[in-house]
Amino acid sequence: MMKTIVLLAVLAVALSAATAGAVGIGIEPFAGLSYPVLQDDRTQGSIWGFRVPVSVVPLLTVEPYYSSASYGDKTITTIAGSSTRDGGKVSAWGVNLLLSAGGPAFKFFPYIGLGSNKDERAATADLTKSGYNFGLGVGFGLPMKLGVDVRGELQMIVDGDVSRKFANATAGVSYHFLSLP
Amino acid sequence: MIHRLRMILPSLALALLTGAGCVLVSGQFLVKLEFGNIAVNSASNVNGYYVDLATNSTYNDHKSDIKSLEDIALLGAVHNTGGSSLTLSVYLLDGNPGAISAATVTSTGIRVWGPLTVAAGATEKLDWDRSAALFGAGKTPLFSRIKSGDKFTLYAVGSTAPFTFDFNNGVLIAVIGAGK
Repeated sequence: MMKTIVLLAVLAVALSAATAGAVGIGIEPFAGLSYPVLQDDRTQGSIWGFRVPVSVVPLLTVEPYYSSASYGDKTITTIAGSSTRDGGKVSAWGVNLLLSAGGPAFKFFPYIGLGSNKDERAATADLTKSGYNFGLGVGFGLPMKLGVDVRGELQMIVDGDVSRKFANATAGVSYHFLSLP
Repeated sequence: MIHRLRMILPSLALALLTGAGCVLVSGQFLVKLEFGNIAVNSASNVNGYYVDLATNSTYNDHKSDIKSLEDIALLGAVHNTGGSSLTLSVYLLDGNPGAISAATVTSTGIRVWGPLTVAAGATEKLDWDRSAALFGAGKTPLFSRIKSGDKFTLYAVGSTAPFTFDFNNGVLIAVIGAGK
């Protein structure tokens, strides 16, 4: 269900961008840190991935993305000695919606997103669930169609009545390879 | 047009937050209960570990908001003091039945953990990853007790008598998912 929604959203973006005749498409690899929020069973990890920003109309960017985060193991000390739980890995793909303010040299953009997330860790069945992203970013334009984005976001994976939340801080370098009037 | 665009994101964010509901105010919290050493011998009645979660402050902080059991494990070391290989499982019985026979444990209890095989005279250390994998379907009956706060007792027994072993430095850890 989630995959269908995301696929339809991506398709709608591509079609609307094409019809609008104001298409800008880029690619942005990114990396950073991911902090589990209120999770006692894993610790800070690293995150990487890529985004494909598609400018649909002025100010509005739709951005399919993929990300993969690996978390640190959780170690506790008890009368049994030191014991460790695998921090696991969370991979996600989905689409963000960015609302930009500013110019080519500097922009500021709040964004929201919807994605499919897979949480994998040793000794536990894989968990694939829908998730939401809420974030803020700043972008700096560079020569030769390049740009730098710095973002902070809250990623929330919903599982029934609870969620796994992560605070992500990332930096990415974008290259806009297609820009049509 | 620009005004409309500026309204899109807050509206969508509000819709997502409303849809997300209480899940935003939730977390995964570690509950740890240390029960020390238990010596088990099939020749006599078997003692279990009586679990009263109300004695744990983390559990008490979240007991009314528990939504899930994210993870559970038994830590410690099992030393097989018998002369033959031991296949050990852990059973759950409601309340505090006290010392009972191994046969009563297996016939009236719910198997929640295992099996763990320990060679004669050997010691197997239980770490978090390894032990969590041995709970499997046992998480479901445990979750219902943890959510309701019902007290229960865990008994470790061998699959075939005679058996004798020590469960040393035993610890029960559970990661509960709680949300407002």
